[in-house]
Amino acid sequence: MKSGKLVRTLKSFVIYFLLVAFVIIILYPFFYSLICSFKASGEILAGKQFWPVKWRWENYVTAWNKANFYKYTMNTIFYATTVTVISILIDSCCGYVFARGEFPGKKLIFSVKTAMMFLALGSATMYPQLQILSRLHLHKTLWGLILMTFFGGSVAYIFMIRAFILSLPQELDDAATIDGCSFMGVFFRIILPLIRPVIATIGVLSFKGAWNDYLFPLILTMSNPDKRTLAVGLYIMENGTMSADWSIMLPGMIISAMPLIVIYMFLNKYFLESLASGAIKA
Amino acid sequence: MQKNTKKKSSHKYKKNVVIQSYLVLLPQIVGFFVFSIYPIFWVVKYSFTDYNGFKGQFVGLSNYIDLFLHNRTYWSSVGNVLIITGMKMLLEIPLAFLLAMLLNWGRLRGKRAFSVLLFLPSVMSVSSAGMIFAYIFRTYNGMMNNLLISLGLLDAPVNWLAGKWTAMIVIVLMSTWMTFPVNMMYFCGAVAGVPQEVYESAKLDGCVGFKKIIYITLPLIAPTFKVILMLALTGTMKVLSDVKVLTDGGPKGQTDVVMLYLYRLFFESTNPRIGYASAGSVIMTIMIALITVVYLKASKKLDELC
Repeated sequence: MKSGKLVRTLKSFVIYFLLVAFVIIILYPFFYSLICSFKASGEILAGKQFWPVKWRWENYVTAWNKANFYKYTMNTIFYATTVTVISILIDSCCGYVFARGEFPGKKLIFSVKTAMMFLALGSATMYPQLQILSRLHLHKTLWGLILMTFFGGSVAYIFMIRAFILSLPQELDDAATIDGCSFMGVFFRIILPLIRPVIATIGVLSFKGAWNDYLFPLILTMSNPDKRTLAVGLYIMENGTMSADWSIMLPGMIISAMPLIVIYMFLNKYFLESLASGAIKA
Repeated sequence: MQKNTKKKSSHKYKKNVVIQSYLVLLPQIVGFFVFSIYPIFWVVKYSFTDYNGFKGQFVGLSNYIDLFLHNRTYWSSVGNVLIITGMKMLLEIPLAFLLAMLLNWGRLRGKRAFSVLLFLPSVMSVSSAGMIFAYIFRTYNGMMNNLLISLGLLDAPVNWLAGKWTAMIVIVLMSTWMTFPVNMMYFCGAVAGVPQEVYESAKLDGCVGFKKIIYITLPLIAPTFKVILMLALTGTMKVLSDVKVLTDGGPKGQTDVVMLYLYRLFFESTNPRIGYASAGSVIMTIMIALITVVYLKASKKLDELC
């Protein structure tokens, strides 16, 4: 019996040890870069000490003012917020219509959309998409980017909302209909308050997606530096004129990553639950 | 009479449902045709031309013939995709599964805290991750070089991103760092879904330790496992940004991947060959679709065998 207890203790020790080791290994690259973002560029090149000799907040001031990170941040906030609001509004309505609506062509529209999810061409169709935007005279604005992100994006959010609404009892709708609610009236009065958890999930996911979006914003702002987002600005800086000055690039990286990390720390429930709840099975 | 009006109003209600449904879906459907369907037809159509952004004419299959017979860069970039996909799967799937098993250990305290911390890398943008990895793997006094030298594994600093295979290693490590958390959470959900009673009855039959994982957990989560593998596979086949931020295909195109090669033909070359790049995109899309179909068929066959 005693040896059984020893084995149990040993086992928990090994498991905790492994988990802590993995957490350290996985987070160390970010943590290390965070510490180094406060060093002077000479210190970074010498690379001897772990902690900075002096914590140089002025690195951040330089990145914010001189390296345009102020403008990038504002663009990103505008872009990500607008995409999130539009996604929540339109996707939740569409999810409701697919869950509860009865209309000719419903199956067809739904299955075409599903098929497209698997036939995503990624970067292969970006050229014609950009051409469409330029014909609409939107290729130099953030609105073009917003439009593209929203319509070119995945239909996964609509699916999530549809699945959630399907799990609600139909009697709720029927009762409201008898009381004289119209079809969309039922959605706004009855369903919308009930699907708040899944709306929060979609909100954080689309905000994160837009905040980190990189390839299409890069193409769209190639000749238009004023509209660059953080992810694009960071890439351009690393491969552009200021390249190799780590004392500006690392603070820039932290500026672009930190807001999302803070949001993630507070709302981690919504980031994690959509994945762990077995959504993949559907 | 009473019944008749009720029927009439219900008919009217149904008609309203149809109208309102279409109104709600209208923007989505228009956007879908304009931004998803039309571009596909556009790419297919222009793949038969030598369009260069200004003018072009029908050239039949010559783009396809040239790609298949004469373009070594294209096929070596296909090869690189396969190498990166293979290396990444070997690293990522076991890692994600192992962590999911650790996180689902019954007596673990702070499962949430561990998950939140392990998931963090996937909240970062690819340009941030690219910068972090470029910083860690830089040649002079880079963290990784210093670490390996002090451990005695290296004699002199390595210029990681300047050699094909060392650059591939960095690309795979960064790509895995960014995407393993999502797969870890998928596995977590699947493993947690295995009923506890199954383990208990297995224990009575003397099935413990690693046997438990091989004979109970893996077979029971097989359906989810297959989906995770497929998503990871097709996702990595389309890899572009990860390579672009780290090496941009360098040195001398040795780490080029298909999508990046095509991207450059479309957008970055001084002499854009839109028609040619379209043909390359069509071939790549068909290849990914074929691999997906073969994968699905093979996993079905495996099911029958087991």
